[in-house]
Amino acid sequence: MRQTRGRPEVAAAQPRGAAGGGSREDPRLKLTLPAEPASVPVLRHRASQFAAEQGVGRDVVADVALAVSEAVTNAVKYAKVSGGEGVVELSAAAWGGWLVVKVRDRGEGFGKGSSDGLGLGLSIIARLCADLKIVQEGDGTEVLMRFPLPE
Amino acid sequence: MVVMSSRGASGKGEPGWKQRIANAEINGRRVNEAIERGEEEGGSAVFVCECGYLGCSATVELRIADYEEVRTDFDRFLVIPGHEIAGVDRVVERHPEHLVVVKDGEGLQESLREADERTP
Repeated sequence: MRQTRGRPEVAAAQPRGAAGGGSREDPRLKLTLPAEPASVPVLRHRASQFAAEQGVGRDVVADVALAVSEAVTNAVKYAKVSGGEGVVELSAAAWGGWLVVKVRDRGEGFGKGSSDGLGLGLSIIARLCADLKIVQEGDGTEVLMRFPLPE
Repeated sequence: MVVMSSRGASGKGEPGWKQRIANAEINGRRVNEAIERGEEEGGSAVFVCECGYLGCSATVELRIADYEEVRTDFDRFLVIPGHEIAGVDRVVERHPEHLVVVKDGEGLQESLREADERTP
């Protein structure tokens, strides 16, 4: 596993339409930070900044910021419950008319009895994004959110 | 006070307020399915209200089996009493702590069916 604590791995957002290897690439952002409370505002800020760069309105930028805050907070909370230090990964891309934002942790996922309180953050996210998917795997949980890009 | 979801859930093609409410409810159901997966089959869990109101943070504790009763078809949703939305939700079951609502409208039925991973 990559050691990321204290040394966040950052693949900076590329400008819209930036060329790579002679072909057009979609703008994207990838950032991995320790699953700790201090990471919440950092990831919220980077996600909302990326959203603004894609030309979405203020309402959607605010939705992205809140949704990412809630998703990262869940990741931090359950990293603690799992007893590990863990990391939380944020990735975002503008693709196919959508701003796709993913928050992934490598904790144990939603453990038994974890529903109390867990749903509230996800419930907020559910109402902010156009489409929500929650994928739980053995090594973590991925929250995938889609927001509409302007025509 | 809760505010009806009127942004964020709008997809391409200006689907209208009914579709946006349905999107919020579909997303709410995905949250509950994630919650359900983390629990034991015979146990209970705290589920979120699957209504279309933006500010809703209501929850209800149900046995997993009772939630499965709600989820017997793609167009049935769990909402807290009072959170059903006129013109979108039709109440088909009333329980002390929750309601089961379905959505009318051909367009909505189509999108709900597509969004339901349990529908073949």
